[in-house]
Amino acid sequence: MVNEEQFTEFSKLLQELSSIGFIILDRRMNVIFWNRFMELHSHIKSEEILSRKLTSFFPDVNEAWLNKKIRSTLVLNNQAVTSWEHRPYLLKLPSTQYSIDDVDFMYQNCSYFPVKDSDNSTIAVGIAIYDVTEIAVSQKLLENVTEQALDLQEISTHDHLTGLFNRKFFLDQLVQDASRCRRLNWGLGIAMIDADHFKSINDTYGHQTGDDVLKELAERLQATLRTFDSLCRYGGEEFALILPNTTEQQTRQVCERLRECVDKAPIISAGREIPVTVSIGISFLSRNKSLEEIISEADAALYLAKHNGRNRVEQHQAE
Amino acid sequence: MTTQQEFTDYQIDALKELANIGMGRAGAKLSQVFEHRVTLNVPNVAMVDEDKFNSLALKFETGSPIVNIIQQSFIGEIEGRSAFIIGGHNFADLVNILGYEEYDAIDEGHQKEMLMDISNAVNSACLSGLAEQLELDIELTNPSIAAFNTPNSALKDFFFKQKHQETHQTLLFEIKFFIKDINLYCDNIISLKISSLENLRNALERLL
Repeated sequence: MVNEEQFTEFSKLLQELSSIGFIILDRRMNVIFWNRFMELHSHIKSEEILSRKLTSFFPDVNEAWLNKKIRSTLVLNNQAVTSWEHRPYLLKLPSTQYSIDDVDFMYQNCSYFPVKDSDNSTIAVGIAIYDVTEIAVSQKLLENVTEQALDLQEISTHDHLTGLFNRKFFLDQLVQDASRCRRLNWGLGIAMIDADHFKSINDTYGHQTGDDVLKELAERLQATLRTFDSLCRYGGEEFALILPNTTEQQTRQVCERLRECVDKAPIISAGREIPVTVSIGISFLSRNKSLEEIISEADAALYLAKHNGRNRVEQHQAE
Repeated sequence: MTTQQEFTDYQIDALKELANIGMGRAGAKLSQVFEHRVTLNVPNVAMVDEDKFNSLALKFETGSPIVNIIQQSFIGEIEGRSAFIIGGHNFADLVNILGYEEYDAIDEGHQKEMLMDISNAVNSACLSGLAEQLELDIELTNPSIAAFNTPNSALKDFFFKQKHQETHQTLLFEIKFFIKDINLYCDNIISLKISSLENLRNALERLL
């Protein structure tokens, strides 16, 4: 059995505790317990704050909210917590982490619990305050680094699977190539290249094989092109190609070679031969067309190639 | 022996009745805290399997296409967890009953805090209501947010994931939480660990 004398000892222990903040509030939010941690970090002595209203010392506490919290603990007899992630602090106290220069307050996790009298009825609310500044700062640092990594991905120019340029690069490069070709009065062709029946390859052989097919396709197409042609993975099984300084006739020839290099031999994946063909739609730069129009013309030509039986090259026809 | 046979219809009815008495008290306490009349009832106590879980998942109260799910475990003489489900359109009401400022309703940090607050309050009340009736000692652990402003199709996934416990069957309390004057309708689903069913049955036998 714990006698009263010993209890006084316990409360003295809590009073002396300097690693966790410990407060007790009565139902009117008056402070009835304020331990050493609180004295040290707030620079408010026990004798100054005891029997006084907490919010008169900490005016930025939302009084209505804290009142609800206290009432809820008293009525429901339950424990509750607040986390620094949602509410950085309950009471604004200065940070003591000298190594961290851009944090000037202490991040806090708090728990709220009923304080009972000898008859086991709840008479007050205890609040434990944990200094989690170090955790909060490292968490935020980690978030920043993750964000930067995502930003890097955003500015990357290559497709991870095939090693080709990505769609974003295609759109940027097309703007540059088109303005150069217009200035020098060169032709420029673009092509949309799509693997035929790719979905059924995926369905029949699995996605790993689908990926192998895309990689091999990318290699074959790339090997057929000049260094200043830009072959990009446009999305899924669709590739986009920019052919700067190229006439209409040359564009058709190049695309015909691309179609043949895929058609001539099946692709080998995991020891299986997978016959693959591509359909290609082409269009050309001209003075009075926007780049968006040229892309959608190539798309329309690709649709025509699919419609006319696949494994074909079709060119956008001016109406 | 399957767990299904561990509770007779009579015992299930008794559980439902005890739960409803417990919820009556819980509702009275919550009304005091939220300063609005709170209604809590238990339309369903049942041993459920996968199929029943699915049919349950289709008739939750929140009409909202966006939902939040807050999860909380309880430990002690019976153990398990609760899932509190509230619509994504309810933050303005929460501000009012939880003592927040109006502008907190659109702040993500405060939204999450409000979700934890309401789940914690409702679950404390519900579980202490149940514990009192069954004369069992139960303690609630801290809430965590399992789904935040998520399309309500997530509900099904969520309950699917829950089943990978020891067995595909569990005892479940389906609790409806209403505050009619502000049109707040939520669900609180309490499921027990299979390992706790024996303690529960013993508690029931002591009482009946």
